[in-house]
Amino acid sequence: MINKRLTILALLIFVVLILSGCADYKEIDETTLIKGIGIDLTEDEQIKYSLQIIQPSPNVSQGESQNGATSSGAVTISVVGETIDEASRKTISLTGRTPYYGHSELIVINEKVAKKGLQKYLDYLVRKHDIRGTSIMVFVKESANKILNSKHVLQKISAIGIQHSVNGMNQMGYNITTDLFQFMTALESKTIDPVGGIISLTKNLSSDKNLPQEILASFGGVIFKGDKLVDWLTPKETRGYNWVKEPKEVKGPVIIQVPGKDKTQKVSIEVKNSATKIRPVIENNKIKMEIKIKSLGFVIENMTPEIQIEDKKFRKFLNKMFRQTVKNEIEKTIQKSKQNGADIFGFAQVLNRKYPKKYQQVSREWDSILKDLEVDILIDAEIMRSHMLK
Amino acid sequence: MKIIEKLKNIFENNNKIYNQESLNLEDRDKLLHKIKFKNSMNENIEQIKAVFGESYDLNFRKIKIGQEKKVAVLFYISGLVDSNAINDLLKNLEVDLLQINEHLKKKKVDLEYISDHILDNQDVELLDDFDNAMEKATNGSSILLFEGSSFCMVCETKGLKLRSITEPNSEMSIRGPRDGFIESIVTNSSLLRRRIHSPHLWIKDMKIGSLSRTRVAMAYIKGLASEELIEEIETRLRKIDWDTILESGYIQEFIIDQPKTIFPLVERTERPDKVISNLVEGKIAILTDNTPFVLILPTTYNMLLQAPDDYYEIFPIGSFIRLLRFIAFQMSTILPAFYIAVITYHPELLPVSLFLRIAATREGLPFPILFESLLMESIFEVLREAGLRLPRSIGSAISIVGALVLGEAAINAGLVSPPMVVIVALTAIASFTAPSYALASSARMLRYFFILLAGALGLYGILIGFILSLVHLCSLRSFGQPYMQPYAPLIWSDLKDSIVRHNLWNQVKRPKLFGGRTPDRQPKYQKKTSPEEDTK
Repeated sequence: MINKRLTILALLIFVVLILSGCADYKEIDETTLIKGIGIDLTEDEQIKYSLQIIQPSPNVSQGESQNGATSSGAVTISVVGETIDEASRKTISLTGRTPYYGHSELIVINEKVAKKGLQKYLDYLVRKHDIRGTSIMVFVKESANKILNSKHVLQKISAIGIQHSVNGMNQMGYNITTDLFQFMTALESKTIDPVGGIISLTKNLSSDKNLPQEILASFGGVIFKGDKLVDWLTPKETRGYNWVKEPKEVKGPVIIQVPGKDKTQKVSIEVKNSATKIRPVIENNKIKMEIKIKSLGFVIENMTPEIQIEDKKFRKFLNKMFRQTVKNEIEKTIQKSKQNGADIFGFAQVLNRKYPKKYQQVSREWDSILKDLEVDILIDAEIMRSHMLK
Repeated sequence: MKIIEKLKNIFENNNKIYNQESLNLEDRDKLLHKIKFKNSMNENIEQIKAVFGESYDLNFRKIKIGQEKKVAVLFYISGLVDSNAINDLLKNLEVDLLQINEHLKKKKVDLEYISDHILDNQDVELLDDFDNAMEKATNGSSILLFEGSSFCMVCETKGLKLRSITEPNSEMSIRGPRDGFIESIVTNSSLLRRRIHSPHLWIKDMKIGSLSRTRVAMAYIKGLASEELIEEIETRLRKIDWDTILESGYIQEFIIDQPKTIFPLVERTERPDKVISNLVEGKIAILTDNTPFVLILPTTYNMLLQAPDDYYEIFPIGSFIRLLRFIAFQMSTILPAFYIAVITYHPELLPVSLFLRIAATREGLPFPILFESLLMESIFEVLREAGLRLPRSIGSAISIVGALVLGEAAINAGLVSPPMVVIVALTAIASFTAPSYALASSARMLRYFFILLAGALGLYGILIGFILSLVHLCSLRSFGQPYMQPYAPLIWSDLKDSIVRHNLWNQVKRPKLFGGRTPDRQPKYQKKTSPEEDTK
């Protein structure tokens, strides 16, 4: 009896082990490790799909460098397909291995694709389970393939480099970091429009011959209306967006021009502990928005040698200019948002949260409301310290 | 039956028949029980010679006692006896010749008189049971045979060469007593007595093994250990009918509750302090002659991961070390499986740079990772076993070959990936943290089980394996006691001495299921109070 049971149990275990088919089993040397994805359109509107693949070289293990995995090289391949899935599978014809997206961290999208409407192109990336929702999305004027093929100053694998650059520039507020998940959330939402970061090729100013003429740099952002790219933001405008949406990230510098004959007299202010609140106000049945920003500044660079920071008047002036500059930056961005009818600040979202009924009433004509929306910007900012030890 | 009867008749007529080759062990045993001491001394000597056959180590020393020159024979087996004890015995027999003479005038040879008055400082016993006397002789006693008496005098002259008490090799400790059990049960029980100066420590002995007749003793604190448990263990011990008991492992195998498990249901130790600390919790120890390994039962899983050092160091350190040991032990079972599962099923769990590193090392390797890990684990087990068996002088050579040549060469030749070597090495080191070798061995087997599950089902498989082994562990009983206590069933008061060890003054109670008869170990909390409080 016991023997019979044992036999059955052993058989069952055997079956579990053998017939489970090792459903998701993959040997890592039978997959291509993808770090970056690029999407372009060909002239006949087919998809040109680029993948940055890491070439794991066994030599790495021999202690060639101590920089960790970054010493492995990468190669960018490109295929044309009618759908992204087709293109993705076509890459096997080049590599002989299945693409593995689990570690991809960057999605580069060409302007043309974004202008056509992104939803259909992103569907595959969202549907496929192993693509990370935290992959950074960047938009480019050049072809995505070219960007992936361009050289990053430090990283051999440009996808990693771009991702670092985008993330790093965040602290200046001159770039926007949006990952796939955030982008899709904004895209699916009716009350907010998505934004994205950009990467571009800029001229190499250094005379280092090891660097190519054009190198990757990350400045600015893009705004969407629905799933279509509508406008590009300058770095300053991008920061205007970040003041409102990501105030914690912005570290400065806010540059203040000191009036006088000498145009080079400037003060840089580092920003810390910013916080923003957007509040809808309804006055006489008219919708108004109130943006309140609280911030602390530190003088980190003073290019006016003849004026001391301790001077009360000067400090007062700096305080005033600090608020003014921030306000200007925000206003410009709001202006751009209104022009394009893209509600990137999510004013509708704020309204819907506080006055859902009101929003229901106006949701149909929100676009026209946005155009004339009055936005009050109240800034409570002060320069606290001068970063000097006497 | 008839044949035996017949043989018996023949035997009574002629002792030499006993040596007939046609007799098997069983028949010989039966005959042995039937032999009795005769009145004639020479006949007795013949009988002894007959049962021992051609053995060379028998000694018969003829001595003459008293004026009458009464002939007696001292029989002993050389090597088992202490020559000093023999000399003392002979001297004693000759000292009070006068006394004997006077006494002998009244009676013939009075053995009781000799044992009471002449050999009064010696451990002497009168026996008429031939079988029993022979067993005593094989134990190192000398047997005094007298002409005209069917009694023999068994004198304790045991003088076995024993190794000295040293620190046990299998259970080292930084702090703690350095003595360990040796191969003599008498010495071992004295090591226990040395630690408990109280008559409440009872050590009850019995003979097990039809041929070896090994002395086995149960030690317990009377009044603390549960009577039912003592009775149960004694019945189980008495049921053992095996020819030779060479080691306590033989006993262990006969008495455990569930033979179909890889987990040790009985703890064994060479440390007297460990035995005592368990006895005072209401457990029972089984001492076996000729082995330094003492069994402690009932055993719990928790016990197996506790080392004496935990108690000798202050409690935060003790707890930390114990916690470390628990984690390391878990790691030794699961680490290779986890590595396989993550690499083959869930590579997205790894940080990118780590994954790239591993991916780079796996490029162009000939074996799939599952096979590679099974291979490496097996190689390690082989090395370990070889290192254990090889003479010490060659052992170091093997470790060099194993570690350097195999490891280095395998990586350089591109046969295995370096991370796999790291994982196997880590696992091996972690497995040595378990204080119980038996538990570490069970972890070694579990490891393969987990590797296969991880290779087939990934982390899901590991989880299944974990649940299965947990269910199995919880179902185990050691002498009726739950193996996983105090976790399952959960006993709150016992948790003070589980994964962490609390202050001794805080452990007021004995383990509930063992020491329930006398639950309090100490009067209420003895926490040291501050001087101000003392004066109040």
